[in-house]
Amino acid sequence: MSGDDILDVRDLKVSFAVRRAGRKYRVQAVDGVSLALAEGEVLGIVGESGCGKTTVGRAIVGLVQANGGSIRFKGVDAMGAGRAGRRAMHLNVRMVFQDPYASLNPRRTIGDSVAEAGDINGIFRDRAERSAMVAETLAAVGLNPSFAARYPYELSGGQRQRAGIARAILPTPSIVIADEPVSALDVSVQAQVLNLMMDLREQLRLSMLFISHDLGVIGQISDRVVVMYMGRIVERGRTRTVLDHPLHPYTRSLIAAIPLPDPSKRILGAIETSEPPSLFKRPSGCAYAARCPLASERCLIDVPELRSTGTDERALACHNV
Amino acid sequence: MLTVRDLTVSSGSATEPVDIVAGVSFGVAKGEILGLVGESGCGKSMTSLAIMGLLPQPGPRVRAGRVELDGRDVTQLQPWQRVEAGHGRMAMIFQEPMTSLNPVRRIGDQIVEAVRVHDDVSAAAARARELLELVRMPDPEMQLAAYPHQLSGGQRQRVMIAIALACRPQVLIADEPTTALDVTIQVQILGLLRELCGRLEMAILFITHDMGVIAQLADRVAVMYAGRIVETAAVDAVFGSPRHHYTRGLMDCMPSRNAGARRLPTVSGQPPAPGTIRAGCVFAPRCGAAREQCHVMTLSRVEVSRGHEVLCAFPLNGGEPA
Amino acid sequence: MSRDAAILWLKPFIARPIALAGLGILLTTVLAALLAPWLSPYDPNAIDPVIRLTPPNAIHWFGTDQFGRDTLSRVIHSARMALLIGSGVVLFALATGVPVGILSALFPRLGHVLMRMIDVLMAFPTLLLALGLIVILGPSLTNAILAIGLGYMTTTTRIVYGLTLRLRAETYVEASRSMGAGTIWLIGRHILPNLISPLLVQASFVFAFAQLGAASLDFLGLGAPPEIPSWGNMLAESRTFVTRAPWLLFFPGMMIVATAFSLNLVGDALRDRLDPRFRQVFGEKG
Repeated sequence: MSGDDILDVRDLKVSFAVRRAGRKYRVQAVDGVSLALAEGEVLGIVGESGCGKTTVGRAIVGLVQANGGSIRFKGVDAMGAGRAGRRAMHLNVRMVFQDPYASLNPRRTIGDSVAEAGDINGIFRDRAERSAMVAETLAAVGLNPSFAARYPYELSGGQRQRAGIARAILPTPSIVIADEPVSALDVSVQAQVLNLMMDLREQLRLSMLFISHDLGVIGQISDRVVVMYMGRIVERGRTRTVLDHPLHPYTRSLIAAIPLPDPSKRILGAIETSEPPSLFKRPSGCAYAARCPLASERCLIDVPELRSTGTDERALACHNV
Repeated sequence: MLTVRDLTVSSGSATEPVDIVAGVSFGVAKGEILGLVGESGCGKSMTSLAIMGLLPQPGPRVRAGRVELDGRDVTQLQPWQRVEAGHGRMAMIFQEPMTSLNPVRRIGDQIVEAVRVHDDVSAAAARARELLELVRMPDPEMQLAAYPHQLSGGQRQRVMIAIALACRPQVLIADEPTTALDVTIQVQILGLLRELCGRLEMAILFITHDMGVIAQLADRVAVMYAGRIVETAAVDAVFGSPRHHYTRGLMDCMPSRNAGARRLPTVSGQPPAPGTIRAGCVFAPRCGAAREQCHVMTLSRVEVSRGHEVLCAFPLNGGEPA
Repeated sequence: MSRDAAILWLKPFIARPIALAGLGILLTTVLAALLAPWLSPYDPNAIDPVIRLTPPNAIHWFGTDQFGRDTLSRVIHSARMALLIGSGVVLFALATGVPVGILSALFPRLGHVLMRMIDVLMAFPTLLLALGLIVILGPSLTNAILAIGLGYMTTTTRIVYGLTLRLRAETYVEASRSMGAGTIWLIGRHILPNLISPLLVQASFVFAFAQLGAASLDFLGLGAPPEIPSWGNMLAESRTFVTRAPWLLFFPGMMIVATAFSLNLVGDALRDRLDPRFRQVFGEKG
């Protein structure tokens, strides 16, 4: 992609060793994912559980080791970066986690958690500066600065998630990787947190990688979207285009399965029982072929490559569309 | 088929009860799906456990109200007492099937065990197979020999439904059975429940936090907030013209894939914790249309149109404030 | 600690009278040890053959032993040895078990080797292990502490290892790692603070079992030197006179049981106190 991409991931591969029934398997959780994040953009990654979307995010922040491909942050190779390079990555690429209950240490105050990135990397000159910045950040996420002295159990789920977001924006990073940040929240709280993230994106000029299984949330917040299935990207494009005119049969079935809050548009009826194949037994051809209404013989043999359709940054991995 | 009248579930002491569920009433008819929707902590799961007679012990108790199954009071009976007394049968399915299945026993054995409680022993194996076919398990013969960890989440939920159906229930309570599933699997399970409801003439009480799922599945809807049912109506009425401000708020703040980056309307604040509820409308502190009297007056249910009841002094009219 | 905080620490004890009794016995033992010279009515080693083997009476409340020494004074003085060996064992078990457990969990390769060694040690019964070591090292107070401590180091290591493995996978630890935290940071800020409460409970149980272990070693003549009064020594010396002077067995035996039991009770109460759910029930801030 173009030169002003702040994050450039090419052909990322991540595999895990898994022991099952006494045998060792290597599961290819991410199998050649390329994506680019432009400055100030929100890129959504959508897919169902096990599709590798979370692993992509974790590989970018270094929580799992990639075994192939490259990750470049502002043009610098992040996987081979030296000490200074890694520090820049740690401060500039930050993560918001799904579970607001598990993501804060129950024995540390909210203030300590929010200041953690600064503490680890030694950015505060003195305690006064530290508490001022913590207070400012808490205010920015809509929490009373007095929350700095509180413990996680005193906060509701929504407040904790705000604290989790505060931790990710002090000091202000370039990129926030949000891994299902609203999935564990009630709808009314979910809307508040989504609004907050949209506000922060504008105020702090953040670029965001927004990982979610929920196409509604993705449609709300992201500019572009990639759809993942079994460790690969099957479709990519502007969010509006992809959601309004999905091309890949998987994207179509995903969109069709969203339960719409409109009883006049019921989708139940067709008896369907197909499920994604096991990660342990990846099919040789297209991973979606077994569930795909368009599958042809070629799909069972050839893995379709992600190819550009030429318009609107649209790309697609399907032989038959 | 199932009637709940003024059900009140309380924790705390007898002298200072804290009502987790406060005077909930509804009914579910044969072949009907009632969707009970609400956010976490609103008391919807407590309601279902109280109906089943499965409240944790020690823990909250049914302080008032009745649960009637097929016209007979079963409020104080444990599930097995209900079976022994020849009352109607109820079954329940939960969010996480893995915790309800025994990980070291084959699926087939677990279904057979459930069948044997209610049915002739000799035909149990055949009945187990039949049940798996009923829940449209792919390849049922093979799956009888499988262990729970060999199944996907969706298949496990099918097994749980099969076990629940073993007692030929007249009432099935489904507590967030699809929340842990992917959307493409969720739609399959919802379709299955819809089909079973009609075929087996069951009454289904479907509990969820997801308005979308409710709209897809339910015939009638009960919206729960802070231990109370604030709105009940047929599904078209609730989604077509919600009368309670909370219902409206819930629908507005759902993110939509068609919306594009815009701010979502929100319901500000948080639901009250049980025990902190004071006089007046429970939703008043968060309600955009609350008037002064809302904070003090005692509310009673109002039938705004046929079969459409709402717990609000100033209900919305056609989606707009009256 | 403020007054409110003190009350909160006492709450689980007040809520359960039996735990309060345990705390009472424990405090009495500690006081007895600290104030032994002033509390005991006689010199614990003063011999008086004239009054040997006197049953409990108004002058000698707990009676006297075969040399005419005052049993009450000896029981009181023995508390010092009991506390010394108890704290010694706890310190040793924590000082070795905590680092070994944490490092094993954080560095799987190292952990593989270390934990197999722990497994081997755990294969021996604690007392047998202690006896073997004493035979090799020779009997002394320090060696008794080491010998018993080694047995409880293994269980402590196992507990710390298991907890650290779980903590390492916690999302907040991952969050910390994603922001560049190193091993020392993770241990100091995330792992140790979350280990404190289970370790406090573990320490109280180790302390209790150390009492039993020390008494066993003393009884076998492999613990505290015979000239120092200890409950185990007293039991050992009394055994030939059991039928004639049962009080010689009763009082030190009762103290061993009471101390071990009270520590277990206190440990249970501490566990409740440190359970976060308990904290919420009592509305503690911090």
